[in-house]
Amino acid sequence: MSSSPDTIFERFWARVARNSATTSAALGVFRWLYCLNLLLLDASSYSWLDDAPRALYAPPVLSLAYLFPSFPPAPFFKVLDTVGVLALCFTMVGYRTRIATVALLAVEIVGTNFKYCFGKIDHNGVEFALLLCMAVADWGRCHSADARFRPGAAAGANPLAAARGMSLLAVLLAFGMVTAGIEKAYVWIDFDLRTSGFLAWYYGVRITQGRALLLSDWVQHAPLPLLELGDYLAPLFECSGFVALLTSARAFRIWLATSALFHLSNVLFLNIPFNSQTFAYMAFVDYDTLLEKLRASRLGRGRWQLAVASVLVGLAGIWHIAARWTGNSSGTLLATDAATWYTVRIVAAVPIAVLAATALVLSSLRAGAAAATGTVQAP
Amino acid sequence: MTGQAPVLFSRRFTWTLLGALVLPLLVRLFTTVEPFPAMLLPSGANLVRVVGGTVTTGALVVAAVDARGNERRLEPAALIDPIPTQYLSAIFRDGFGFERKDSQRIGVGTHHLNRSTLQLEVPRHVPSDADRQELIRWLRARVNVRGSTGTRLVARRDRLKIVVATGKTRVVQKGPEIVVELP
Repeated sequence: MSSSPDTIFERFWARVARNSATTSAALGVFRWLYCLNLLLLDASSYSWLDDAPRALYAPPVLSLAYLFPSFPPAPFFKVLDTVGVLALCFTMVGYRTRIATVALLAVEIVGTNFKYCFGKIDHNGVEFALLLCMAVADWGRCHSADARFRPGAAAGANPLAAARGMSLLAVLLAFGMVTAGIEKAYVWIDFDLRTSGFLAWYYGVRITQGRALLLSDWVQHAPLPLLELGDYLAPLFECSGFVALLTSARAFRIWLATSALFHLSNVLFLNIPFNSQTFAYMAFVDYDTLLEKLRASRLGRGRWQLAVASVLVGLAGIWHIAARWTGNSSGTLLATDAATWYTVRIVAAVPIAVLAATALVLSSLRAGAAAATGTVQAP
Repeated sequence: MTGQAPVLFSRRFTWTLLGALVLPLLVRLFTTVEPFPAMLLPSGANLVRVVGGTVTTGALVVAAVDARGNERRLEPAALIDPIPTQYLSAIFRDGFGFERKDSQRIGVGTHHLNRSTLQLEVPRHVPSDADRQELIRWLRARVNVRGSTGTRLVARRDRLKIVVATGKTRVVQKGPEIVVELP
């Protein structure tokens, strides 16, 4: 970058791009990992809405579903799930990746609009943001069927698209966390040991939803000043994303790693999983070392991996679709009912958070080394 | 790329993005409703009071009552399966599908703790009689399982006192009940 940008906006985006930079090749690896997470644990699952009682239809006033008188007639949601699973499979193997990603995003937006018509919004904005930004970043450019079979327009690195998508994702993540923290900061930081925000969450989940898994029972042994300290640190941390993002690539990845550990504590003590959100942070992992090792290995030199992977993804997709049309579906390959799905998600949240935190810390070390040697990538 | 770094996003896009992010947040902060979809993550900025090591909180109870008046607690997850359990409180707040009001209120206020400066009435989706009958059949199938029966479904929010250190719980006040007859 030989000339410095001359407006505040350009300087802002240039700094965000520098601190969130990754490569199209790395995004290709991330695409496989993120979609694997969806395929195993969090695939589109709305077909049960076809059988939901229509009298419970209470859409949020400011949502698309409010414009509809009731749930769409069956088999609307089975068809929606089928489209979602197919779009997920195509996105994962990287066939017409951008179109498939946008289709998956559309399915999720339509499905969640109706899923939240029981009166509660579950806040999965990060999953939407991730798909939107990856469509912008064109994450199917490498390690994909498009790269193998459609050389030319859809293949090869696209640094500008990658920079746009990753910058947008970084800003949305930092802002999203502010929205989680700002209200808590106002209410929870009250310097009053006779109130607790953490315990409000804790008993809400434990009493009403009946969850008491992992380390949930340990909370009753925690001293109140420690819980009060948590009430202060959580919102302050949530509001600090932009500071980290604008400081350096290393600081931003450390902040993301801390976010992953924050989610780990949430699942351990509160039994609230944020699996796909935590996985989204792994878009900022530096996969170049992993790629170098893969290229050097026999696994990375073979020509059959894409075919084998595509067959496995296809089989998983068929399982999902068949389960939805036979009324035995959940979002995970590992369970067919809602209760087991929750348990699987809660247990899976632990290794996901540990993996994300570890990978991001290692990436932050590489980012620091790159900054020290002046090899930071520019779009 | 020849010297000049490409501009990632235009000024107009940046302003539009700022508006798309901040406006929904302002709506959530200063009203009782929330737009969807929007880039808003869960806040849950609620507090419980901890007095003498004891917390007072609310707990939703759902139970089946048989012809003799015997109450049998129901497992919330099983009652509304496959609807996710975390929606049960919202379903209860909305009258378990049997609320007949045709409007709902949106509160607008100056800050988090005061959202009642202005009250707006907006239309509410009212279930038809056929929808209510379908819901009764749906609930009855869930209440009358494994040989057990119930002629009424009762839902209420009780106030509980919980000793934090031991988890010992006692009901201090039973809340008003929503009663659904299951003929």
